[in-house]
Amino acid sequence: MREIDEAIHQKTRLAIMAHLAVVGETDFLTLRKILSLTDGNLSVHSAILEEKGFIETEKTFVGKKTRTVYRITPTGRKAFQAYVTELESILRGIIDP
Amino acid sequence: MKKSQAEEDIQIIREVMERSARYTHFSGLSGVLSGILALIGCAITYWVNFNISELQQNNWYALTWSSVLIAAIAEDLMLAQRNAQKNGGSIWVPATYQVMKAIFPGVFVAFVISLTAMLEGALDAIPGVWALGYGAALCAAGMFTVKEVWVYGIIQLITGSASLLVLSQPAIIPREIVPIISFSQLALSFGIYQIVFGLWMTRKYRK
Repeated sequence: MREIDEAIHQKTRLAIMAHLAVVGETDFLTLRKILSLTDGNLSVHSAILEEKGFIETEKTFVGKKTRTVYRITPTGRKAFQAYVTELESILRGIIDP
Repeated sequence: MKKSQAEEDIQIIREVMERSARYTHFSGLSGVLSGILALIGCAITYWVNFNISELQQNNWYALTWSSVLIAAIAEDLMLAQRNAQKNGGSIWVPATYQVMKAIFPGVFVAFVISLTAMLEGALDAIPGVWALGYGAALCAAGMFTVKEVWVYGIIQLITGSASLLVLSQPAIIPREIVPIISFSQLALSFGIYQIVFGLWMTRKYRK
């Protein structure tokens, strides 16, 4: 059995990666809303993904407010695709669960 | 990883990806405003019919309705952007490009056919063609957004088809009422329907 990427395997992080795989980049508020997460939850999980180099974060100022944008990196996209391929292989019975 | 866990993960990915790909920046208020703009366009069209020489009517129609179209697109983009900004986001997300690609064929076909109809002097057919093109565009856009858009597209397709089929029956429809039918359908499809649809969307989605 191949090693499962634990950073993506966790459900919230998987959802963040799935969203970013579609939209490429998104901001904190949209991501929080679309995935129904709390501020703290999103911050913790996005930090883990950033640490692994799967996403990058950019903070800008809109007026007096900070706007945080998350972007999937090429490494993140590759890891997400590999994870999906892994899941499909398990479901097709190619890899023993 | 167990097979059941893999199934659960695939389900999460599928649900999130489907949700993320949906266009949610539509604005009900924009529908109401474009309906009002279309009714102003209808009023100008009506006035042109009785006050401008036939030779110049084509230019007036083209000017009036391209202005209505440009104003409607501009206010729709502004309101959609405002909706997106409320959530701290931008309107220019992949779902927006998908919707734009989806509506293009319907709009393009309606443009070409109505241009041809105009050059052939078949002005009464144009509102029906527009409703068909708009209906096709809405049905295509409905694949990437809320289901009401698809339903509204079907209503436009039915109205446009009915208008063109009725107008193509010279044996039944007296010549003098043809422009009235055509004009009424124009006001119905792009004025009344738009306003009702906009109000419905505003009420349901609070946008």
